[in-house]
Amino acid sequence: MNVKHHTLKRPAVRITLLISGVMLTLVLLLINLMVGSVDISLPQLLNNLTGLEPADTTIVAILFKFRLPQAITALVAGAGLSVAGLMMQSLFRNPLADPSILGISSGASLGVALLILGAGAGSGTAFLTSGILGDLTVTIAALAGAILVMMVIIVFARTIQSHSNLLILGIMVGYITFSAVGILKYYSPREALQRFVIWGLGSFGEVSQSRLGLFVLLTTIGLAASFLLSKTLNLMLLGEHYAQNLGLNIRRARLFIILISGFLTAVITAYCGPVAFLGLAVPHLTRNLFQTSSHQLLLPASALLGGILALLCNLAARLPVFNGTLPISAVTALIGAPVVIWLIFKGNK
Amino acid sequence: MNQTSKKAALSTSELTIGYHQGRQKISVQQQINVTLQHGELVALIGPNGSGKSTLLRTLAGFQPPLSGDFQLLGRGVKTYTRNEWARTISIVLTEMPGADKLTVSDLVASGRSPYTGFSGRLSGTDRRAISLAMTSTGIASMHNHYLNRLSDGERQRALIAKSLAQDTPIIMLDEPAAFLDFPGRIRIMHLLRQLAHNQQKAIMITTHDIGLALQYSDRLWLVSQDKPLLEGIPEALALNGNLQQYFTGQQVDFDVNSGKFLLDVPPLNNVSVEAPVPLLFWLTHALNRHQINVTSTTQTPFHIVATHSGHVISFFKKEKLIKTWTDESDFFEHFSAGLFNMP
Amino acid sequence: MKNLFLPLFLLLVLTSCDRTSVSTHDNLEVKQEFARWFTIEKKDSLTLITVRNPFDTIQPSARLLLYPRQSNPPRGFEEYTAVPVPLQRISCTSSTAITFAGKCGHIDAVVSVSDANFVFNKTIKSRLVSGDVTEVAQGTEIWYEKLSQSAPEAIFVSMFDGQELDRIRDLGIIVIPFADYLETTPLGRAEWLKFMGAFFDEGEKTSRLFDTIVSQYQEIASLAKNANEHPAIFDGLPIEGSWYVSGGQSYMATMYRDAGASYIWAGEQGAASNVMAYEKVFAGAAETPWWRMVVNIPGTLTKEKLLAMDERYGLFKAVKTGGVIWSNAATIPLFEEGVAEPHLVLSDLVCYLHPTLLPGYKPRYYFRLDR
Repeated sequence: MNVKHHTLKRPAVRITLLISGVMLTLVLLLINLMVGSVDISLPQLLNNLTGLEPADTTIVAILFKFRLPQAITALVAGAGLSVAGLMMQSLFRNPLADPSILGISSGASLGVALLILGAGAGSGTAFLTSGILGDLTVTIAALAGAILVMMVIIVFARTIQSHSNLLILGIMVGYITFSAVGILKYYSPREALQRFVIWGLGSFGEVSQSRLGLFVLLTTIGLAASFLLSKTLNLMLLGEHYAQNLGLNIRRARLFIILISGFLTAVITAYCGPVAFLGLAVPHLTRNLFQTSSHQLLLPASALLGGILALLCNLAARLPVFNGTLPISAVTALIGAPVVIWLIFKGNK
Repeated sequence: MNQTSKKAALSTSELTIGYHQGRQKISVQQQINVTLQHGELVALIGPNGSGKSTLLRTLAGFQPPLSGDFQLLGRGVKTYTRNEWARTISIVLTEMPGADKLTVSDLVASGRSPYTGFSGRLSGTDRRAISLAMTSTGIASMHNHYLNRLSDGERQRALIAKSLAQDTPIIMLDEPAAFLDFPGRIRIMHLLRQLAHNQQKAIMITTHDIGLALQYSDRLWLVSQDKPLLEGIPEALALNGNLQQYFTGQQVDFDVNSGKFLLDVPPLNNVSVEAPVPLLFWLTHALNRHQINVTSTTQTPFHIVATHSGHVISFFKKEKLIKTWTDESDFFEHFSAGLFNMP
Repeated sequence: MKNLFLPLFLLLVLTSCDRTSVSTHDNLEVKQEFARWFTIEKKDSLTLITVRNPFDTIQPSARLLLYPRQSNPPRGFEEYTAVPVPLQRISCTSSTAITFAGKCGHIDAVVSVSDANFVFNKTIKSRLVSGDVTEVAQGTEIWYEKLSQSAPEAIFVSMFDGQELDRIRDLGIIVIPFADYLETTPLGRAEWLKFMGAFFDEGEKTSRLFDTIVSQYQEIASLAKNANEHPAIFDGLPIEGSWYVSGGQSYMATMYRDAGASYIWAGEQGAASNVMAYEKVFAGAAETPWWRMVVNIPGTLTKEKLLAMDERYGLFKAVKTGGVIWSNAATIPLFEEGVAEPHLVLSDLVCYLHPTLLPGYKPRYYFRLDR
């Protein structure tokens, strides 16, 4: 029995980790601003950011219109998805749960599919690039689809007691939307299909500077709300009987958890498309790193770690080696899965 | 028997418990009228399917009664808020929080949830309660160990510590001895008795281990599938035949003399035994195992006599010596029921 | 001479046994000047057409033997698929094939098409409504029963391989790959007019038509070449962050050169389009005066609509200075018809890039975004 007695060390270790995390975030943020198809050196970066010297307008534009919004989107989305995933894992006491488990991101997919694919098949014009509302229509369609599914799940959650039944329901909803999307894909012209497929792989670069503010605001609201649920989530971890005996209103707790997690997932999927893997892996990484089950620590730590991982993936996806920007969902799993595998083997000793 | 002179911790009034199957109401026990007193350890015993779990779940507030009512600390349950209930009854079940990195102190600290408000922050009072709970259950030294690394007994004590931290006048435990080894069971029951008596808690346990229940509880609640709930003091229930009655029809007999449960089969033969204590007890024990009933001298032609020093045990039929053994070990190894058939 | 008479006579008799009609052409070698993906050879009244396979450099995608429909299919050409010409009933899943059939004067031969919603040809559209022409495919799916019911003799498809084609052959329909889009030059694509012409026995007509197109095209190209300036141009639009720009050896790159423009990525490889990071496109094209784009929206493109799609488009000089040349796949038949009229498409570009060269010219396919 290998018991670690970090009685005095543990809080110190955790604080160190947190501080390192914040610093790593800043470093990654800077690197993300410097690396890309056009290399910007650190002095160049600082000059252009602070506007000290007459700046190269192209570089300023690249920084403020492309890289900064993308980096901040990645940071915020990574934090939000990780927290949403943690909440799902604690609610269902299932280490394989992730934000998409209740079918909410599938709902977003369906919304976008109906817009990009369905409009093409139905009327005479495929909405490759849409009209007045432009890219906003994709966001709105995704949000509408996600919220619709979330409402269905919440209605179910009120009447269905068993957690596993609720899980199965969510998975079924996911499959229904998956099939619907498949049918839509089959009847679509190639260009619409291409656009939908690319959307489906996720991107941190589609949130323009003017829309960034709203995205960050919404996600921050979701994160703040989740931090308020620390005690509730701690109690849920004990199991429903103990939680109820300790005074928790299980029904209401479940509802709030699903609502806030669903809100985060819906918003992030609407702005970034479905981003895989972060919501599943980051809570595990966080638990492993901080060696705790206490949500007062896990929630903010997951947000921090999620942001770091997302920034890392964003960097990898944008390496000049790839001519374009790799879709983000392809990168998150490639980078994240080996880390999780390493952790499993490390803990196996 | 409602004792209204001393204010009961819990008292039921015509409580009918059961469950719903579709539209049907299936009742498991009807019109229960029992009380649980402060400072008392009550054991709820009965065969499987008799409604023990249902009663515990109903009293703990996990499912509503089919009809009737009960009171906690003199107030009807319906007037209790969720938080008040959490400060009144705490439970210890056989299930264990499956959370991965939960430490003992995390678990015990969760017992303070009814008192810590929205954020869950622990005050000085909370910390003292937690510390005291862990000391009372003897697990203070393991406070930062992970739950899933403890032994069953230690985990059980951690759960009890959580209940103590929860500071409730009533504690209910479901099969607390279930996963423990024999010494562990004794220790847990002893601990529960101490908590009841020293801290004036009202403690109710459900258990299969009747021997343990008889030995340690102040009061028994007997449930059976087709009989109404019966409560009483263990010794009284034994002597007035109620305990025996509860087990008729199940091929098990309660022997009021030995306090043991025996299989309900007729003895092969009878014999009277004369021997010093404690040899008398163990000779009887061995004979019973061989399905020989031990009775008074007048009722049987067979006698066994042991000398006072414990050596030389003799077997007589109608005053005639049939066999001797050199000492008790010899007897225990070589005795057989076939002896009785020898001419 | 006398000694040769008998063998020559015998040769004539022998060879004429296989033909029941007199040849109308004498061994006309139809040279493809620009198209690289098909070849036409004439052997008396027979025409042999080969379509190259982009996936296989040795085995062509199709070998077609066109014979006069009144005669019997000739023997001795086992590797070829026999096609009776002129065709009377055809199906087109390639939309450009419809245009070419029309240019040959045989639009009436079209009995079925794919993706009815996207067809621009007015005759076909009205016939789709009246039911004289049926829709037999949509997206990636072919409806075999409907195809069979429309009873075409041959189908012009834009794909090369696969089970779908075999299933069509099982229905007894001749599969003709229409690979105009593989051509990397505008004239090369237009030359498929002659390909189509062969199937309707309109070889002469289509040759003449094509020659006219070539001379007009080359005239405009030479005007543009001699212009004082060759302004810089780029193209494409991003899909979810990744920009698809024309490759350096692509159809559009050729057209830019012929229009007297300087394509900023003419040095890049690629015969179709290349993927490029948005950032990189911006870095390269932020100061480029001309931007050619094809959108797909209802109605007309306005500056508001463009900026609504992505506010960063406003950073490009082309948008700021009114240098955006756009077409709309939803409302303008750039792809369907423009392929047969490269001289017009070229003129559209030239009239914007070099305003003085074509006075009075009214563009049909491309429009200019207001400042």
